[in-house]
This record gives sequence, C-alpha cells and structure tokens, in this order.
Amino acid sequence: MNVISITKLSKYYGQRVGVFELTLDVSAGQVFGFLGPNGAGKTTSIRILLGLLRPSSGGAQILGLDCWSASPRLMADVGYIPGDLRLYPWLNLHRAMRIAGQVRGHDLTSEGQQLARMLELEADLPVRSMSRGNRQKLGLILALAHRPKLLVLDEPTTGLDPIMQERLKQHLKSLAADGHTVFFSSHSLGEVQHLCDRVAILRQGELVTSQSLASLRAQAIRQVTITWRDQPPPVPSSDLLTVDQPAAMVWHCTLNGKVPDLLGYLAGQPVADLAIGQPDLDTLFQHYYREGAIKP
Amino acid sequence: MIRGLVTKTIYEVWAPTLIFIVAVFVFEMLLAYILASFAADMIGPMFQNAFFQNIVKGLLGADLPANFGPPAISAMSWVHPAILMLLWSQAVTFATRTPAGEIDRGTIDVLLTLPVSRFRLLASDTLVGLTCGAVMIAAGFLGFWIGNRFLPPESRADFARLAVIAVNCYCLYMTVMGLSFLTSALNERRGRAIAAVVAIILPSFVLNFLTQFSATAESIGFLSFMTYYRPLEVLQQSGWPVADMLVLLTAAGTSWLAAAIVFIRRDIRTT
Repeated sequence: MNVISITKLSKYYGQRVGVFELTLDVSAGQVFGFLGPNGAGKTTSIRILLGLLRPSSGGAQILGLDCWSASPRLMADVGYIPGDLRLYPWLNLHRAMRIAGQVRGHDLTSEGQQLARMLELEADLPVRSMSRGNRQKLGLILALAHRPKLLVLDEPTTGLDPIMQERLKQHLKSLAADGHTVFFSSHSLGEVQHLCDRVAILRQGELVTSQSLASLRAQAIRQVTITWRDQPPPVPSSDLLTVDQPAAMVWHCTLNGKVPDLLGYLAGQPVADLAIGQPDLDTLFQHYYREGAIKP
Repeated sequence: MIRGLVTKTIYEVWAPTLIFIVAVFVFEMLLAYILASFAADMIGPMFQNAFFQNIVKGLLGADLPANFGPPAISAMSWVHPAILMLLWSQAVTFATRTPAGEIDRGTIDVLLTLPVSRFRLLASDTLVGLTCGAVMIAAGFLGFWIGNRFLPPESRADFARLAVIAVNCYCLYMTVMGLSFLTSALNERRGRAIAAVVAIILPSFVLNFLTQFSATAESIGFLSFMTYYRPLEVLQQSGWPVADMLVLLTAAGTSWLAAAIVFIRRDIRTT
C-alpha cells in the first residue's frame, strides 16, 4: 500500500516553477530519501504534502486522502519537522506535550519524556534559552511523540551532534521496522545513504530518478587498486576500467562496469593484490544533480 | 481539540493582555475621578471654544449639553483617545498574530501540521481575543465605577446607561478585531498587516472629526465606524443603540468571515 502517492504534481509561483509534473509513490514501512540541491523543489513538494500549499495541477495523497482538502484529518497520522524550524520562545517540552496532547486528543507526556531522554533534552528549558540543536530536538519530539504513520522530515539532523544524529537514525530505523513510513528530505547523500531503502532525486523542480539505493549502488563507480606481480597486462578494450597510468605496477583505476566482469578480466592475470572500494554514490549523485541525467 | 489551541494562545498573549487590562482599568479609574473633580474648573472654560466643542462633539457623537455634568464626563471617559488607543492596540496586536504573525516568524508550519483546520485555528484565536476584549472593557467599567465611588453622589454616573456604552464599545472592539484578522489573513508580514489595519482605522477616526467641520465629510461620514459609537447620545437617550451596534457587528462579522475564507484558501509559503 502506498502511504504517499503523488501524480503529475506541479506548482508554480507566478512564472517560476516550484515543482513540475512530479510523480512519486512511497510504500508503507519505507525510509524514503528525498534528495536534491537547494531550490530543487523538495520543500515545495513537502509543503504540498502537508496541505500548506495548493497544487497548481496534479495531486498528492497521503494514506489515500487528498493532501489539500483533507489536510487536518491527515495530520493526525503525520509528524513533521520543517527544514527551517521555528518555535515559540515560551515553549518548553512540558508545554509542547501539553498543547500537542490536547490538540491530538491523547496524552503525549510519557512518549515525550522518553524521546527527551533519548535526545538528552531538558524538559523545563524554554525555547528562548535553547541552542539550535536543542530546538531541533524539541521539534523532533513534537514530530515523533504521537508515533505517526508517516514522518516527514526536512533536513532533520540540522544542528544535532553526530551522536544525536546516530540515535535519531536508529530510532527512525526502528520506527520503519514497526511499519511507520519515513520521508526524509536532504540535500546531502551522506545523510541518507545508510538509512534509506529508496531515494528520489529532484533537480530544478523535476524528478530526475526514483529508485532503490541498492540499484543506485550497482550503477555507481568504484575505485579499484590493482597491484601487479609482473608486467601489467594491456588495459581491457571495453569500458570496464579507466586506468590513469597503464604502465605502472600499481593501477589506481575506476571501475565503470560490474565487479564480476572485473574478476573475470583479472582471472589468469598476475595480480599480487586487489582492493575494490565502496560504490562512489557521491559522484553518481553529483552527476544527477548536474545536467544530462536521465529519468527512470 | 480547540482547548489545546486556546491553551497555546493563552501562553502567548497573557502577559501583554494583562498589561492592557491593567492600563484600561487604571485609566478609567483616573478619568472617572479627575474629569468629574476638575471638569468645572479646567475643562468647562474650554467648552466655550467652538473648535474644541466640535472636536469633543466628534468624539462623543452628540451635541454637548449646556451644563457639562456627569453624563458628559462619563461619556468622555469612554471616548478618551488613550482608552480607544489601548483597546484598539490590543485588538490589532492580538488579531494580526494569526495568520500573518505566525507566517512571519515561521511558527505556522508546526501549528498547521497539528490535526486542526485553519477555520478552527482562527475560531479559537477569535474566542480568546473576544474574551480578552470583554475582560478589558469590564476592567475599564470596574475602574470607572471605583473612580466614581470617590465622587460626591450628585456627580456620580448612571451605571445602567454606562453598561450600554460598554456594550457599544465592545461592538466597536469587535469591528477593529475583525478588520485586523482580515488584513492579517491577506498578509505574510505582521508589520504590513498592522500598517494595513491602521490605514483603515486612522482615516475612519479622522473622518469622524471632519464631519463636524465639512459638509462633504459629513456626507460620507457613514463610512467611519466611529459614527456608530456615540456614547453621549446613548447617555442622553433611554434605549439601546441597536442600529449602530448592528452596523458594527455586521462589519465585524463580514470582515471575520472574509478573513476565514482567505486564510482557508491561501497558500502558506515560507517567508
């Protein structure tokens, strides 16, 4: 079942395109990465999902309900943290849980306290005295406390130290394992690559690609170091490897093809040592962020 | 659900509202005592001046009595610019918080991602705003009553008629609040929303004065909402100014409804 279903969604701000004909589905229990450089249309898409913006054309649904017309009803099952979080200066954890609990119709105190312990946030500290990181923690607690079916997180780790980032990621993983869906927006691949099952990449308001991370990894190039025992063999005629110095005894090269093909090429060759690096997703993503990328 | 929103609004506005309430209370108490005690000696001679008479007539909404007695003094304390300024400032600052103020400072994102409709949000804010207005006017009434207790019996006001003025004043407060909600719904910056509502209130206030001096201004005087708030006339007559109050309530209701429609239909962008 799709938790988020976006069909040919467009949003214009006068002449400027916010999002153009975006089509996207997110299944239940997925941690979905929503990537793109600044100004790609991520925040516009999220604001449409949350019913803050009305689409110019096309539509977006969450749990089968229209995001614009059914927004208040949907928000019972959605938790959200904006990219540029602003909170009331008088708010502290107690007050936040009291107000959110009254609006949502159930007591959130215990869940809020648990999350505050996890994120190490003081309950009585008002926002006006909080650091940026602490404000972010309070925003996260507000988004997570009611255990929503869908979590929409717009750059949620902003201001958090690495330990807190890791705790948050572990928590999100455990939520996803329980069937909650996480829609994680970021402009940084590093933030999502160990967390997300699937990613969509936006550029200039348009979807560039939407696929699983496993499939992206398979496409990504790898750095390979081959140390030869004797004279190096000729560079393969196919596009399998790009070798900087073919005459050297140690090749520092780029694997353009698949690992089994490389192993096939190396069989019977005088290899002294072989090191194959991790898939270089950054380079692949930079390619998608720039011109010339293909749609799925 | 609305309880949570009301709680949030109370957390936000209790301190400034308390200051407004205390200020209205103190001003009315002082006005009630000072105007009545020193009217004959200080203000009385000024009433011989035609220009001053016209200004006060513009404020009070009726011809001044030959004898500047308790009714005129009671009426003056309810149209004193300081009192009107306090009531309107509270209405404007309160009503421009939502949605313009919330959008301006970016807090609306968290607010509207609670399971609450924009209509409910506006309604809950209005509920608190109207309560604040009622308490402020009641505080003014109480202040006036206390100030009046220090006067000799023959100088004391008619409190039954004064209650009618207070209700009329509340209708005026609702009009200003309704207009403020409308300018707030139309703007993304609170400063602009306040400027827009002041651009409506100020000309209305000035027009009410000009009607005393210009026939042209008098012909369009009905456009000023101050035309529908005439405390001295209320004190001089026996009934309720039903027509005036209905005009003010219609203006308040229409503005509020327009604000609700605009707010429900508008995009909430990042600022």
